[in-house]
Amino acid sequence: MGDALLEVRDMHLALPAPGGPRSVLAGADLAVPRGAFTCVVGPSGCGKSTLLGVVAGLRRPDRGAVLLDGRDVTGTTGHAAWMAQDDLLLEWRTVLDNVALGLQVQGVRRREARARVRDLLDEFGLAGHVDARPSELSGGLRQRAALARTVAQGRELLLLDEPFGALDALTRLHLQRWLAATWAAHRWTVVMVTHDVREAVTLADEVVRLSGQPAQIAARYRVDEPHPRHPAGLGPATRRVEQDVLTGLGVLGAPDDAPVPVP
Amino acid sequence: MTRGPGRALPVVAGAAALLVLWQVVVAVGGIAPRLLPSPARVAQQAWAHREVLAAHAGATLTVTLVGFSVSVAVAGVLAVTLDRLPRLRAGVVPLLVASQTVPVLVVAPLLVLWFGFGLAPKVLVVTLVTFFPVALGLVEGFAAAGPGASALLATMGASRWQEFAYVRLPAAMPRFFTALRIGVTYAVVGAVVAEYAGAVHGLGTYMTMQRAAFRTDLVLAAVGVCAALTLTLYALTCLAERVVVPWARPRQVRHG
Repeated sequence: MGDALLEVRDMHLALPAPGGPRSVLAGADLAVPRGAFTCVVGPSGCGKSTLLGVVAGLRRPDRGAVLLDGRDVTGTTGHAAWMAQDDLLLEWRTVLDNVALGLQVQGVRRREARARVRDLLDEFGLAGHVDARPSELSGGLRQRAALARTVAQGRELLLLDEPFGALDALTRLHLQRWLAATWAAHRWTVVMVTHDVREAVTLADEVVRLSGQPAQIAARYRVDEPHPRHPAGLGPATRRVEQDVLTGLGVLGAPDDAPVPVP
Repeated sequence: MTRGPGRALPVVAGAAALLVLWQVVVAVGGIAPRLLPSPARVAQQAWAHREVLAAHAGATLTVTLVGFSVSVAVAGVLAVTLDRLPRLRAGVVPLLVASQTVPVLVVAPLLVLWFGFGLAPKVLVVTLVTFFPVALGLVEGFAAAGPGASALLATMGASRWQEFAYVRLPAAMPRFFTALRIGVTYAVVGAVVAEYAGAVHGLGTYMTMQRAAFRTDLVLAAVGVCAALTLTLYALTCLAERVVVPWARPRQVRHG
């Protein structure tokens, strides 16, 4: 794809394990156009997070390349904003200073970094919690703060690793709806890993399904319904994609690849 | 943590009750003052000798503070080095533990023998006694940051120095202050032990002299000054902790 901001080519990675290296990624390919939202789904423990970590530069792949805007960034960091399932907010920093962290790392002075992220806090519904410490926030607000910190870095590419995975169902629904609307207004380029298929089809332009370990791309699904979508009010076409993905994962009907391991 | 009169009251009441009991036992039993002086006599004699006591307390305080500062500085350098070199850490931490098994009472006279009656041997004793908790507190504190936060900083393109300044150092502060509080109480005792082994000034020297003169009241007065010194340093450390580590005491939790 010529206009892809992110390209992952033929990614191979084996990780040390008892009894010799275990292949985790075996030839994963991705192409994410600028301004597109891609969701990666797959069976539990298939290597979704590992794939995201490799794109972020936390691990160097054994083979394959990560290209950002055509530039080879394999094994390097600092080109994408990454968010883990654990919000990783620093307890000694206020919400404002947590969100400003990325800019400070980039060499922006603390005062200026704070000034630059203030508007973002308003937009993320954190205006009343600017000076709060993370321990004073509810789970949903913590995830919003972590998302704000990710966006505030000003990178073109956002890598979200199950950002709502640890939330209760109701809070998750609220945040999915909110993210769908916020993303539609900004059109950041996003790769998001999730185990929630409804979440994936609500947010994504394309859903990529990985096979069981070692992970390869098992299938890609386009979701054409206009943004922003509502997780509880998806159109029939999107609902059909959801059924297809669930069928592919072996949750509905006959599995079309390796059986899903029971966790 | 609740503070204020509600928390201090039982402590004060308990101490007062003990003092009263002590006073009564001495008065009723007719115990000789050189065996066990009454608390009133100890207080009265302490006041009468306040200038000498203050001078010796000053000497002990100097040894304590210099020794403890050296200890914290050396522990800081060592802990940062070990944090950078995980393989070295596995080898050195057992040595730190071993350093705690050295009996200070035995080593202190040797240090006086080697370094004379000056500040050096006493500072060394205080350092020896307090180094272990402080160094271990820092080493474990740095490790308490966890791999997730380090990974986050890495994806931001942070240098090792930035990762240390933004994550590892602040993460270490709660444990560091716990270690400081333990260390500072050992420090005063360490200084007194060092003075006991041989010195010209200090509360340890003063106690040795007064014991030889059978002035049990003044020995106990010096013990009281020691305790007051320790409690003051402990309280100052707690105060510093509240200023430096405010996040360890969460304010009222809000929801939203």
